[in-house]
Amino acid sequence: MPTEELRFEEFMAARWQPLFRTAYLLTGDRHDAEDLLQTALARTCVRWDSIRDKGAADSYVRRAMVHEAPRGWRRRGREVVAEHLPEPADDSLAVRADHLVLWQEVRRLPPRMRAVLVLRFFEDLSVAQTAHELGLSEGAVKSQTHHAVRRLRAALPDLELEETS
Amino acid sequence: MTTTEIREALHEVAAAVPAPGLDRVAFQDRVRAERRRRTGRRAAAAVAAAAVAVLVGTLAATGLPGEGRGTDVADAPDGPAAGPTAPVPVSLEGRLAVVAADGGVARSDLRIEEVTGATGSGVVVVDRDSHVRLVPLSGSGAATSFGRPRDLVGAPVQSVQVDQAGLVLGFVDLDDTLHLRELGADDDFQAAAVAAADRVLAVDGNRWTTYSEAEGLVLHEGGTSTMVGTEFPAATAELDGQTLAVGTSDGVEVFEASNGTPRFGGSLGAEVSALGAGGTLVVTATSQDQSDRGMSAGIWVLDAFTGAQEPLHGYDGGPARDLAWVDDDEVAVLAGSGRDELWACSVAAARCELRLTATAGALALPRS
Repeated sequence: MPTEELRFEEFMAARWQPLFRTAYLLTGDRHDAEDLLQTALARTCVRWDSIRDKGAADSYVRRAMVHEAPRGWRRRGREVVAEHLPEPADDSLAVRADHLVLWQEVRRLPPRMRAVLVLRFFEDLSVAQTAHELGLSEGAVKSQTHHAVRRLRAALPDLELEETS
Repeated sequence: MTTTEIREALHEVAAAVPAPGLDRVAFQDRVRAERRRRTGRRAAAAVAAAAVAVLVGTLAATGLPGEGRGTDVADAPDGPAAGPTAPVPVSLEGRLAVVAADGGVARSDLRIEEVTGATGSGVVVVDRDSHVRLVPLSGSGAATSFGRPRDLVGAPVQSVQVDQAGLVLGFVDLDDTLHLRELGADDDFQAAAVAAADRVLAVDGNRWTTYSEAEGLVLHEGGTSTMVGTEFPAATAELDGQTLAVGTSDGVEVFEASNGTPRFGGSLGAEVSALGAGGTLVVTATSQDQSDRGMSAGIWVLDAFTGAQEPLHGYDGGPARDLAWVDDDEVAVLAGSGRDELWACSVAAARCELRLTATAGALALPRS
């Protein structure tokens, strides 16, 4: 096996779990997350030798997931609905009840709005970094964040969500 | 309670969701499929490039390709055209600046998010408060002076576009409404609701394109919407004349603007591109990724109707990161490794020149 594939194997073995978590937050569905991550990793694998900074490989996979996700949404839009019912909210997740309720509302956000929240509040990217990864202006990232929080606040008034910069 | 609650919820959910084991057999299948897909796409691009006739013998002698379609070329220059001379508006270290033909730089104090585009009335920018401002320019070269910025909208916007001709402004307000108005006008000539998940990628007169993960790329004109079947998700779109050029992660795809049908049946392979005014030319450049795969770095001008392409000479900037037309003839190129290089190219002269170098990350080109 070529050396670069060995290094990719090491990368994939080490990063599979954390990247799966990001994929799950992006898709809201475990099967879709696995599908999305495998596709993004396959794309990364065949380009592995062109990724000069292997320390940035996480970012490469993440960008591949963000860009690949729309194909899945469009593909599912053409499928018979009964063939791919969305996974119901997973009540078995061992998380605080109020966090589970909040997560259920996050899953209902439009995909790009959800991606903005995931990149900003899970991946801890700055507004500028999020804008770069999603191909949006910084203003759009701010406004998407604003709209997301507004929607969550409307859905969950008891949480009294406020925006922070 | 703050957005910290969202942060904590996302982290707790992510930590709680069980990750499946890696299905190595399925993964290897995907890797093989991805390799086949990439190989097939490169072969198709090579065949397309080889099959078309070489673009116009000399661009300088005959004018720009496509000008013959419905327009005459009576104004074509008699001799070789001069090199690039147009000033290039840029974001330099976060502020609006203009780079002159001699490399002189006129810097403004205006802190900006982006340079949206250059127009006959000045430069359209988005400031750090997400307001759209038109900055008039006067003078020339490093002595260029910046007039008082005019707020074109009066409120923050989510996104803004200027059409290729620099005549129409399209912006999405914070209530998800797209407004189309003549540049400088206070009133819209058209407004339309935009779904929160939609991104407006381009405007041209009363036409515009949106992209969403659910719908893909959609071309809107009046009350008609046309789905545009890109092979890969659209990252950018440019619309002018009869041409819709869509930048995807795998290259530029060109469509008929009238009905959204593909003009070449797939990506042309260029991963950095910009559609020129009139929709007849696309300037393309070799990306870092393509360079890493062995392609020679260069700048090319491509006939948007035939696919024929011709190199622009004098460019030595390596893989390009961005391209932007600054007028009907000239293109700015952002390149450089370990530093930013600004190149200017004249299509009519088929020539490029290094205009400016700056520290890495300091420069950004106009977006449209």
